[in-house]
Amino acid sequence: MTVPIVGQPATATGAAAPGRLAVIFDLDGVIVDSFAVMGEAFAIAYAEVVGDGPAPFEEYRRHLGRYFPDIMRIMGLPLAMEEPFVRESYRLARQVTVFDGVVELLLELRVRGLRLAVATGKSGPRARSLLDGLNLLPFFEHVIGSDEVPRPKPAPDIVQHALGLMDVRADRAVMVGDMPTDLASARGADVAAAAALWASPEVDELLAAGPDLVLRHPSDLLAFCPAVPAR
Amino acid sequence: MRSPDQAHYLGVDIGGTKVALRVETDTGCVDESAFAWEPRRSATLDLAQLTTHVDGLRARLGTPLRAVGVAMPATVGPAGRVTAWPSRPEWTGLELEASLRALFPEAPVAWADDGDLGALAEAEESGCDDVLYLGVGTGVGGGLFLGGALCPGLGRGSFEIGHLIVELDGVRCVCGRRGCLQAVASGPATLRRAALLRGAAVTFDDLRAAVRGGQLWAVAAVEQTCRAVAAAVAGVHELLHPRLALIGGGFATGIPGFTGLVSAHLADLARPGHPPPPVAPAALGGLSSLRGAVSLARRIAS
Repeated sequence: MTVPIVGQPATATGAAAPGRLAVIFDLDGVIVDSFAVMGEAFAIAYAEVVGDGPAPFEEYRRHLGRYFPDIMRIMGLPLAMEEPFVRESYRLARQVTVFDGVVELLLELRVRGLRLAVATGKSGPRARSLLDGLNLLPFFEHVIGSDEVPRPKPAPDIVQHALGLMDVRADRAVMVGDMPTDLASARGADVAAAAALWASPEVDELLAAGPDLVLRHPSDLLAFCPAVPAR
Repeated sequence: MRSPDQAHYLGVDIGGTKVALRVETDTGCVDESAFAWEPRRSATLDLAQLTTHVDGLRARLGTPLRAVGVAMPATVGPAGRVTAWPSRPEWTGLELEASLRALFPEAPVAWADDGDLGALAEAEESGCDDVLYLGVGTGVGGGLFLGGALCPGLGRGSFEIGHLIVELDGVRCVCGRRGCLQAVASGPATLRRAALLRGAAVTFDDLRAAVRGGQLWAVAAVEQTCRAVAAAVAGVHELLHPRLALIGGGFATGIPGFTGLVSAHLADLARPGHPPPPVAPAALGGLSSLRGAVSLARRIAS
């Protein structure tokens, strides 16, 4: 038995969210599985610059998603590691794979008229080169690297820059990321933050950050991205 | 003032946890009461508790009952025997018809499904003779009032819209099938979906606050529920053409914009040349089955 509620308006009162016009993706751990390659490049760079001994990969892993020089600063490692790390990342790029279901997702989103961008911790040239090698570059209107904005994630700059380039309002976009830094960046830009769980190394932290949406498979995003009505 | 010669119509809404009773004369309600079932024992003891309460009611009224209508959530077979009631399994096998006649020897008594009676009451309240009523709460119930009468009609089974299949490969229903409206769109089903989309537990209060705030996981969970409800309304409309769809139930009435979302999804499902019926909030809230039980008493008395 419930309390009778009368006089409820017959029309939606702000519950119906407007459809999304754009999706901003993080790259590593969301679109591409570059985990093994980053680990190998990190180990080689560490051996070259720091020397013998085990590379602190576990700690590095927790900072994935940030701009590489920022990670070096946080971990107290020499910035000189960037050069061999980037070199090895390019060399090993062929070993990077696309997660199952991602190509189908990107295709369907484009068919539905959504505009797509990448906002990554990588540098812009490296991200574009990687996506080009995987034949994914044409899906995205913009691929923005951390070297192309004043402040990398978790600052909102990269998400705001993507919105500006596409001329899309924050409340009409959604950002998909696998790390708490992605969520923070989206939040700072007032963009809904979706947590991609299919490869995240930080699932507990990610969920604790309170994403606006949890995606267990790339296709889960489609329910939130109906076709954009033709104008 | 109570007139001793005024006819008393009694409605009884038997629920899984409590029972509500309402007495009306031709001029209005003269008595309303409710009691919770004692801790679960047996149908016989439940009936004894009901008898005690009814005796007290008779003493208060002072005159015999003119007719009695009973709203029952249980499935009752053609022989008047309870065949299933998940909320109070002890009642399975109970001779409902004989028990009610023993309880009310002085008056004609009839029972009907609580969803059907909710539809009856809501239809009378709306003034429309062709009304589909849907109650979204712990389960999904409802009824269809067509041409001024309940469909399919007393003794012919109830209008089980909660078990209309809306997703062929949908989630499992308590009945064992997949994709029943109730399995997709009940309050608990919506909260479960919201928890999956949020990645954390979700209470009803969480959900309504998050819907109000436009949070993606909450809006998405409710949207899917409203889409399923709209699909059910569209299906019923294709076959039987109700002129009005009313949405009630504790869950639906508590979620801001629920009726409007159903209406929007129904519009999406419309075929060219076949406009969907208007969707409006039900008026009687949790009292619909009880009011319908009184209406049933009036109908069998005349």
